[in-house]
Amino acid sequence: MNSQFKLASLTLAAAAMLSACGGGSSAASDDPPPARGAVQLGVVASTTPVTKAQIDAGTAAKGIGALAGAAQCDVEIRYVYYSTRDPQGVIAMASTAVFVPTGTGAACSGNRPVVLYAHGTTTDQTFNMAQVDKNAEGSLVMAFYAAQGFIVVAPNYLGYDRSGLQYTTYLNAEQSAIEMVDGLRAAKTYLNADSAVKPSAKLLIAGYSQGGHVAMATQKAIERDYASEFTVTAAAPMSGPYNLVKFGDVITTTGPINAGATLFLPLMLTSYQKAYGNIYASPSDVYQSPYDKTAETLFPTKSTLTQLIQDGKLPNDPTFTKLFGTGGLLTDSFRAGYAASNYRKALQTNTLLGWTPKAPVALCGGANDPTVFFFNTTDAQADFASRGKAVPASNLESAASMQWAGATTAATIAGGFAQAKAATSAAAGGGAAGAAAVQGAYHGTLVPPFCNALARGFFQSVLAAQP
Amino acid sequence: MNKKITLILAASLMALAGAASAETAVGTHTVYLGLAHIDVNSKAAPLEGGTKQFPAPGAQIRVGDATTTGFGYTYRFAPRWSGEIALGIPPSHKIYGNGVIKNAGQIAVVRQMPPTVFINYHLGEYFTKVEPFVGVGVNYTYFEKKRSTPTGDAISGGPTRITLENSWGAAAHVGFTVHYTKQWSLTATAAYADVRSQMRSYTTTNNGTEELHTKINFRPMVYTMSLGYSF
Repeated sequence: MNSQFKLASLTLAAAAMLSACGGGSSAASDDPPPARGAVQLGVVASTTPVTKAQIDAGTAAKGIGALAGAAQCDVEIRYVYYSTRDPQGVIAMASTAVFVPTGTGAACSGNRPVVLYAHGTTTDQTFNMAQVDKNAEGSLVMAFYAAQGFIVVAPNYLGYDRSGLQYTTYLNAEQSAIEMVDGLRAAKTYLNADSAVKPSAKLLIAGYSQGGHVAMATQKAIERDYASEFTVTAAAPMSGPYNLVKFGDVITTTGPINAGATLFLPLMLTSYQKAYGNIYASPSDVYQSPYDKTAETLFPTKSTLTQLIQDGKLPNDPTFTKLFGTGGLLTDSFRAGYAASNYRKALQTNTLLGWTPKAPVALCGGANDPTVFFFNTTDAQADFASRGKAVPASNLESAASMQWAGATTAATIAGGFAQAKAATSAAAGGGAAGAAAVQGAYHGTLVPPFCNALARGFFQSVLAAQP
Repeated sequence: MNKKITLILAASLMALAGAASAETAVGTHTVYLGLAHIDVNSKAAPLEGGTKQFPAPGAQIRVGDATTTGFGYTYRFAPRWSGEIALGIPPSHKIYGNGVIKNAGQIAVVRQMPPTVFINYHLGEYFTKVEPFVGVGVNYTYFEKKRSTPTGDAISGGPTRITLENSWGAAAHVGFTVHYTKQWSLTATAAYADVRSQMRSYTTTNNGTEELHTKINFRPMVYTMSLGYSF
């Protein structure tokens, strides 16, 4: 045989053997998953921007036109589906709304500051902040921030909208911060590539209720872990459960139980069971029958709460406080074992005290909030103060607590809030019915517009003082 | 790596000189071993059926290429005719997101066994060394392993199982053989096979099983180079 033939056949044999080595089907041969905060899909969700007139009409209809102020900008609604990680570090997909100011006003073009906004508790699996026509929190944030020249990035959290995760990472501080940071990354990448209005380096963080907790956790994580990538300009967490372990202690031992507890507990128990694996060996350890059969996968849901109650998946209690006792959601053994439980340890892990913010912070809430007790806010203020960080904690019931915003603003806000409560009470006929109506509307409807107005003013004053 | 292999082999082939010229006698058996590169140019409709609606052009998939070791057997049953069965070590193809999920990267992997039988017509010796041929035949593609990646699971919303229908289709190839000696030869081919499959994915969610499906037309071009031993 000639030497070229030997060469050719040896080459072929080597190549044949090499080819079998590459391209296996095991997990070890898989490509790495997309990076955190990578844009999977970015779209303009509105055919035409929402106009100033439409925004003003919307706020007027809700009686919050004066608080929101006249819209300065039209708002383009964008939506980003992005890759992030779940509590086990496995790839997960999530989505975020992105509201972009647009139009001819001075505040509506060029590079705009970004408000990274964390939304409050919802049980609705289809929740999407970008659907401003039916999402009250989305349209509020659009009116208060985007229409005033802020780009808003408002992630929907894992488990909601197009996210495939089969539960939501509720009140898991470190995890929520990861989802917020990745949503911000993806939104910035997308806007820088696709939008004439681009994000500036100014980052404001805000959030309400669960979102107040998420906002504070996000500021803490960014200042600790992402300082080379982002600088927090200011943060305004609102009505959040920052002192989570004390909140749990009060609810579980002495009471009172907060309004909405029968919704918050399954969300928390599932979130912590998925994250830490040690909250219960079986759902029936913590949930009474028949709720133990369904509570673990109850939320987020496409069913209404009325439907869930009808189906026997939640206690039939319109106050959503029936945690304990006969017909309650949770077992006596859960309550009895609470003090030493892994659940309490999880609450401690997710308590947002013991850290010191670097950027300016303004807290806000209402002293009579039946859903997230106000001591969460005052405890956080006291905790930061103990390490030399003074932050205002606005109580809408008290003009004195809002003097930091100026005497006129304090009086206007306190007076406006009192009027709003009075109007709610009167619309329900006053007396006990009126008081109950105020109670029912306090956390979700009455407080948010006032706290967001204060937050926005705070952001604007911090920005004005900076170059 | 694939391009380098092809170049090395092509260079080796072109460096030939003084190979023996020989026609294959009737009744000759040939076994061969070599390299096969599968260039997939898949076409598939957007995934349908789930609860998550994606905007236009929809969530799509794209099948990646694969390279593997091919081997087979040929029997010369007439002066100009042979029958052939082409086999190989099952190649693995990465499946990637496409359309609106293009940035997702690899969402699945499939391993397939594509045995193919050919009837070949040999065009005699047009050169002193090289014997071209054409062949038509039938391909059966059996998808023996299918797996969704963590990224695929993240998009579909839970642990995902994939099924692919096996495929029967026509195949055709052109090629040439270089005879070095009575026993040893080198053969190169370019083949096309009609491979189509209905792909279904089943995702376990809290609300039961979600099914997505699409029809994939693989449209593979297969390039082979093999060392043959005849007896």
